[in-house]
Amino acid sequence: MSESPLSPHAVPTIAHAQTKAVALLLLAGTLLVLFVLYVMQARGVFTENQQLLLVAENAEGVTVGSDLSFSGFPIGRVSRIELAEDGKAHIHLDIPLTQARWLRTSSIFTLERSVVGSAKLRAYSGMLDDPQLPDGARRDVLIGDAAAGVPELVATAHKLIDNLERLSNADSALSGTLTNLQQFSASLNGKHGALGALLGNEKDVAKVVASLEQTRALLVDARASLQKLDASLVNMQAISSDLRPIVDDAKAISGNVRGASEDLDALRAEVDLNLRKVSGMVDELNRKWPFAREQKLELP
Amino acid sequence: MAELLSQTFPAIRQRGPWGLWLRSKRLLLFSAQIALALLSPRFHQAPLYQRTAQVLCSSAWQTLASYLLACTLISAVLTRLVTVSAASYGLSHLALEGVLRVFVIEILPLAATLFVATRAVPPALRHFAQASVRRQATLADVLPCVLGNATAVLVLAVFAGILSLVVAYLVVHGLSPWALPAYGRLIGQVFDPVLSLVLLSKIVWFGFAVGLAPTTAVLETQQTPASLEMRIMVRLLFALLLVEVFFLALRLF
Repeated sequence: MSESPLSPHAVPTIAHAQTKAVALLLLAGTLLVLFVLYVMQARGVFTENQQLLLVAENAEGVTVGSDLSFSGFPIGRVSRIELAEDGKAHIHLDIPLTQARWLRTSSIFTLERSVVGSAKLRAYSGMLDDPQLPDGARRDVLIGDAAAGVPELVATAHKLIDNLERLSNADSALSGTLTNLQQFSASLNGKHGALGALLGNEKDVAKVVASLEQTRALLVDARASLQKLDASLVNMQAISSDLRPIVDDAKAISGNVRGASEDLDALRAEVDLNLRKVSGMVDELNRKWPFAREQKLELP
Repeated sequence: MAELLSQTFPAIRQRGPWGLWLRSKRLLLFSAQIALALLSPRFHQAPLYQRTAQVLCSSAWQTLASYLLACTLISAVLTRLVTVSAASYGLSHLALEGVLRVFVIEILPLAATLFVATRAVPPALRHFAQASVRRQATLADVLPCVLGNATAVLVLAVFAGILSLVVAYLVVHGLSPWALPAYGRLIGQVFDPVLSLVLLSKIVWFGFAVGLAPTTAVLETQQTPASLEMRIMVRLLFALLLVEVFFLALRLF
């Protein structure tokens, strides 16, 4: 190599090129090594973990490296996803021991899928006094899928739109009702107003108007009759004042008649007594009479 | 070691599809030989390091400040744009991850590669395109160029990537230290081992392509300097496109 007459290529000679190149390489190498160490530390390589197995119906949207969050803070990381023999997705998580205290035996784990972004694993620990989740614990995941409701929503919206279309159709009942309402309001604003709107034709309206006119005439007649009746009542009142002495006399007469009727009662009692005596005397005479017959009834 | 490249890879005169195939095969063999030479301890001697240091300083050291300044500005603007747009759609929790995945992982390595390509390839290309150089060039002559430019791409990509991570944090959270754990967690999520290896491999392949491209001038014959420069730049862009597509396919499958 040293025998070659050629320069490396046409670059100007740079002073202390080797020193600068070594410095550059050292700096780049150091940065690279530090970055790799930082990434390893960020990935939890140097952290002591405990294992957690989450069993889900499907692990769609979950990737290796996804976070398990608690109260919005990442406390674990998915290390492996596998399809188990039972047909369910087994999601293995590494939980740093420093964060494991947030997971309790009563903790609930959810897998939420949003329309945008990847799936999110969340842990909820309502009872922080419960015992801590043991290493290697296995828990089921509750799946909440925002996108799963979309087909149902679309179907419902489709049905709603169909109904709206049916309602807004020219032949629909609502349209007919609105047309009738429009006709009704037009009738209200018409010559005969509410009466025309209620009856609907001129003939009936004319009849009702005529009836009203007749009623008014009747009322006038009734008023005249009432006035006459008032006058008659006044006369009757005058007559009744004239009749009052007669009535008093009649009352006196009826008192006398009552007294007479009481005398008649005594007379009647005396007659009854005499009749009973006569009857007893006749009975006695019949008993003593020789031709008296035996009065006995023979029952068949 | 001192074997002339013009003799190892003789010129191909055929035209048409067969000639294209032979030239492509010769290019692949040349690249493989360069890669093997770089891995061979036989070539790793003091003269190689001295010349590589010159190339590295020319490609990276002298441009480091301006490149980092440009990266800082672009990453700040881009982060701000993405976070504000994401917040307006209620997706602010995805903004930083988007910045990391798109800017730091996809755009910055390519930007570093193109920066080194525009800075270092033209002079190297002019040098290797000279007829005398083409005739007498050996592996030892092209290795410093390949190694120096590839290392420059790696160095610039590392500096720019880490600087962009810092700038993104400052733009989103300011000087508050309380978001550091969450940000570190996000970085840990994005830079998983597979993605990190893919990113590093992509940067190495980008660097190799940029270092190798100007040296392929020694394989060319009967080309005017202008057409040769254009031909090699197109070849470089095609190689970068292939690398990008390959790693995209690798991540998808």
